Amino acid sequence: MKLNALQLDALAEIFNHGVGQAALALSELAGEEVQLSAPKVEELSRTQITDKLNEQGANRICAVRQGFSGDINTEALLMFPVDQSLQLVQLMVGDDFPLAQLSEMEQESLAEIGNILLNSVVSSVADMLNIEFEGTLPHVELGQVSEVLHTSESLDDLILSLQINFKIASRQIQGYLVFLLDVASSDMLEKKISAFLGSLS
Amino acid sequence: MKPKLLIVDDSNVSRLMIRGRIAVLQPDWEVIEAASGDEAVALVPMAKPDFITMDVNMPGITGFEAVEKIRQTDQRVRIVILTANIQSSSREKADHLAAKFVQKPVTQASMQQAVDYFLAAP
Repeated sequence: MKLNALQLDALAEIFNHGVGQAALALSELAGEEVQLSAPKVEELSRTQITDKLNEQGANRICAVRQGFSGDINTEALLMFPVDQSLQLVQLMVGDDFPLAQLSEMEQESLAEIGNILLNSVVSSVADMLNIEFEGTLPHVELGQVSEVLHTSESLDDLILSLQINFKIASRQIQGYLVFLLDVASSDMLEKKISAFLGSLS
Repeated sequence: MKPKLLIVDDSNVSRLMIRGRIAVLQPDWEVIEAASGDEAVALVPMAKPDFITMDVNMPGITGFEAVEKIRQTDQRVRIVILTANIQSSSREKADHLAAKFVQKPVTQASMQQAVDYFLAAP
């Protein structure tokens, strides 16, 4: 897949709407305003994403992985530095939650947060591109960026990357969202974006 | 008899949060739980809940499939589909199954929406 500038721009706009939904969900969880940066949509290789996250000091990350299938098959990954994971969990359950119980439920809480955020984005994209997705159960993984991104595909294949920064007044949480698409799905996505652009004229 | 709510969600955290919110809004309600759609389908004829909150994305059958099975024998129970999957198609499926669609996350506001639906005249 090699999207042109207009297609990438359209995709950024579509994701922008999805990210807005995710922001709304996060702010409802946090009970305060959440600012999300405009999403940066790029086609990057796994190596480039790894380098980018490493530059941001996120050598060890926590990732929530969820598959979505339909006209387009994609694996969505929400990644953030591992030291922010507890803050995200506290967002969900509240600061008063007993610490012992919190660490017990950390993985499950992260899976649910990932489920909410990834579904917010994917649902919005699905509606705007007129496609339907079925989601798998979210899984939480901890490790180096390269380990989490490593699949059977080549590290140099281009994948769709969407970077967003979460900013919450009381906390600073940065997240990175990646969509892994197979070749057939990339072609279909290109067609759907073209159709979306065609519907605008 | 106390109204009975069945919470169906594979996430223990979500069940805990729903239970906590309901305890604030409706402290008199009896609350029971199921961790999957299959478990809910088996539980409903015995437990006879008045209300159900149903997650969609769970191991085994989906929440929609579970509601479809429950509806075959129970048209009375009021059901809220409580999910992060906010695609239009999900909302349409909920309508089709005579259930109310409420969007996750679990907050006081979303639970209030569910309770209002449960208590509204059918």
